[in-house]
Amino acid sequence: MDDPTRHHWVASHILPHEGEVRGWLRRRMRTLSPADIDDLMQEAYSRLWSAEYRHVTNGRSYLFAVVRNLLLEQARHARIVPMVRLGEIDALLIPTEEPGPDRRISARQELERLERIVGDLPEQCRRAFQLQKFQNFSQREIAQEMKITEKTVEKHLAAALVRVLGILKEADADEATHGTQPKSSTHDSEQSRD
Amino acid sequence: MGRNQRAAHMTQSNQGTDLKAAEWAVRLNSERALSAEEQRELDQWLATDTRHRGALLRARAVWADLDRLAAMRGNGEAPRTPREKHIDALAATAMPQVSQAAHSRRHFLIAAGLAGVSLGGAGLWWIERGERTYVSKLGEIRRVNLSDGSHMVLNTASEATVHFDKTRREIELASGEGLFQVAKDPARPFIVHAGSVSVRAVGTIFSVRTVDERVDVTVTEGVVELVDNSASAGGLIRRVAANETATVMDTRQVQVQNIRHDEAERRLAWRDGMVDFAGEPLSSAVSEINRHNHWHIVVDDPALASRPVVGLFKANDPNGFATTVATALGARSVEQDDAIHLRLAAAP
Repeated sequence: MDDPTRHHWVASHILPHEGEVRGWLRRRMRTLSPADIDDLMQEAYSRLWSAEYRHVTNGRSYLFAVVRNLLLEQARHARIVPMVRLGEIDALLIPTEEPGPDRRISARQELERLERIVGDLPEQCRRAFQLQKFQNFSQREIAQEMKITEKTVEKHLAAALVRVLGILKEADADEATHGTQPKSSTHDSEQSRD
Repeated sequence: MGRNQRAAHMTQSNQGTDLKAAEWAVRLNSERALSAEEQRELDQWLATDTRHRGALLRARAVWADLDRLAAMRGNGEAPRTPREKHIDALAATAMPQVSQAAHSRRHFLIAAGLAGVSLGGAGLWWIERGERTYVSKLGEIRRVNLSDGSHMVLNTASEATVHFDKTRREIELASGEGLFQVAKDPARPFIVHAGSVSVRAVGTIFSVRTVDERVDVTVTEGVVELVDNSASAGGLIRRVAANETATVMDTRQVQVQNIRHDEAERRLAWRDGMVDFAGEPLSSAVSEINRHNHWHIVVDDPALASRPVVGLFKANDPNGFATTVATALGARSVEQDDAIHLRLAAAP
């Protein structure tokens, strides 16, 4: 697992397709709750933990295939297999066409999203994040610079990372289509729209 | 209805996992090596739930990916500390070895080849009345309820002869693979004979599979004893407990391996008509699928044959398997000459 090339491979081959797969699950597997989808994605990533990824040429197809098979597996483990759901899974043909350029999130949009996330971070947290990611400080160097302990630095960085992890879950192909709608995810939980 | 609302709910339900994953991702990125206690804590967290592994891998990938974004951003803030130094420091960090269990799956190989093996007449020594032979056809999964309340499930192309009387419950697995769910009866041990070994159980669930000269025994519940069948004395070789698998090549050389419970379950996917692969080479996966079907799959390219296959498939749907695998591996599936051929996609 402690294999930087694996992280980079996952970053470049799998992460870009996560949004599309999540969107596809939301549209096609209506019986799945958001939490189910979340579990499923974590399970899918866990399959990549020790998989021989170097031979996988098409990360997108791979991710779709893994998710589809996890759904089948889940159906199998359910004591009473709801046939409708099995049928649903069988009908899940992996979309063959990659989303067109207009459906894909652009580098510019990605950067805007990053700036938005960074801008929303609490001050200390933002400072630590900027030092590490924009100025290549190590965690030890950030601690010295900000005169805080390395543990606190790690807490700030983890808080920033968890924000990014959450934002990436919300993002799917829709976001690229609708462009960069401004939204701050922090206050949404209070609203009950339907 | 709000994606945001759903997302908020989602964030709540998996918040804990993501936060932990983020903390570990950052921690592992530090120059400081993990303390023994931290390592234990991490191993334990990872072992609790496979999803934790997935969450951590995702978090580390996202964290690494932020470097790419930051580089793209390149807004003239000259890096005070050279990137190289940072990377060197990372590389110098003692890289912790996490989760042995994560790797255990890879050690398991589904052996190639059809399991239609004759065992050279080994031990049909009890032939008398009261026995019954069950045969499963190619592609058939046959379930048999035995008179003592035990259940036997025969995998594709298997043959087993059942002999029960007042003092013993014995089954001769002549070929293929059987799963046995044994009803408790201490007075009458339940014994499965397969090639050079016998497997003795009281109340338990286990499977026995014969492949060429080899016998694989996987236990999902309880304990079984492996007994040397070839020696006249019939000595105990060793015990195999739940979540262990024994490979018997030769009764003097038995390899026993611990496997996770979900791994044990995975190996028994066939009883539901499914086969489950966790990174086995395509060649092995294809042999396993072919074992169930007349309609065979052929892998044309050797380069393709060694690629790993992940996923759960219907055993009796070679077409579905071929299509999915072709998609995942960037290959083509072509029907030709009464077989399905998997080959590398033509160069563009």
